Amino acid sequence: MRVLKRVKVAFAGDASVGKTSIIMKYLGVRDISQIRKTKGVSIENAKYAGTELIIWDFSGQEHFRDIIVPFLTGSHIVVLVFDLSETKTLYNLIDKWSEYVRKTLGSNIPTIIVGNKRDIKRLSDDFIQEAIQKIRKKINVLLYLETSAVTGEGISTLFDKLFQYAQAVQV
Amino acid sequence: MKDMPSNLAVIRCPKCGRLVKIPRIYASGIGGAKKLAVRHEKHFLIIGFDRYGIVRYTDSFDILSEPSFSDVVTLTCPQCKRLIAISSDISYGKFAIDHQDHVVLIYKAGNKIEFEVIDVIEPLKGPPEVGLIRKILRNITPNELASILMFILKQPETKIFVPASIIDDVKKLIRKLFGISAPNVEIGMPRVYPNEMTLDFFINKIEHVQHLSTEEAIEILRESFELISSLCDSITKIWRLYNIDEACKYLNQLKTSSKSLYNIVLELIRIKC
Repeated sequence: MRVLKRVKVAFAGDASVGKTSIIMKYLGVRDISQIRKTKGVSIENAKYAGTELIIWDFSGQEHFRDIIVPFLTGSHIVVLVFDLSETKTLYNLIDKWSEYVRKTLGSNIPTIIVGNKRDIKRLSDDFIQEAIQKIRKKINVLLYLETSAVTGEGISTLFDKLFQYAQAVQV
Repeated sequence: MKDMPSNLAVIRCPKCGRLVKIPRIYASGIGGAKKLAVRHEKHFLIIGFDRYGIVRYTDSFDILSEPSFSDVVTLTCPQCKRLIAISSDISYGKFAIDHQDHVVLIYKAGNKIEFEVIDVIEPLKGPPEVGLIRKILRNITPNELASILMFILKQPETKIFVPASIIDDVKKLIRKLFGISAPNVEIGMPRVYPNEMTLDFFINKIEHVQHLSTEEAIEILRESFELISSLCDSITKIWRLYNIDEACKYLNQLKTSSKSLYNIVLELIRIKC
């Protein structure tokens, strides 16, 4: 039997930015309107070409943060998600989430930043780029991309990239 | 039938801890929030309601006084068309500009600015609202209420004993929290859960929510149960995917971040496995 390479991927970011919806859309759930808010952590897995992503979906709620942040430990890749229609969610990536990642996993951890809800995007590209520059000063941002869990746009690109990076990870 | 929420929401400001009573409002779409702002001397409390009228988040923004001189960048308030001047010295930050009946929330990153306008509301005055949790706590201790929650979490059909004066309130609480249509509650002396180490987490939560409106208090407690359940599921899944050592590693991480929650999760995993 072929041995799977297991890579831990952490999805983090504020509540309601669509982390679970992105994951579920990739895993084939059609109606994402029924997806409930994640409380604590939820674990899913996806396999491709001898690599298994163990996807940790972290709750974005503030009052759970101290409890769940230590569970980031051991992640090989981090996906930080914000909502393209809510400025504060991008701001919290700069202020909070990138800090949690840096403190828990160090500044070299490969990170993808995802702007979700592209179908209702409100933030300007200039502001997003400026914010990402700020995040780059703290952690190793490999890529920024935009998705819409509603239309499915960008979701397969995100997971293609995840598998690609996962293959390069030493476990 | 789903209970309609009360017309008032009582919440706590995350910055100054003050309790605020405001009329409940409703967001229009899925995922989005309808926001209101409350002025608190040097900061604004921002409250986001969901489409069910439940408070989904609170945040605070420091009020920025506009500079009278120095290099500034300007923008126009989309609501009142007033000119807003922000010092160029601020390269990064989030803050609020007070326009009396509305507030402009500014996010600055380098020389780029994003902003949103939120209506300001005066909080209601008058005697504090007595929510369901407070009502129950007038008759039993937080320790006893925490025990009730723990008994039900462990075994939903378990028999619960409470004083006659709160039997309906406790039934209502259990119905709302656990979705049990006919809770097994009888008149009697409340029992304390035998493993008292598991109670601290709920005692803290109960103390935190006791002065909030019933809907917001229940939401926070319900989220706590879902958190516990997700942690139990995740740790057993890690056990299945990897091995017991890996599961123990995560349990130990939980022990470091929240000993009281660890005690509950450990107790429930023991029962489950």
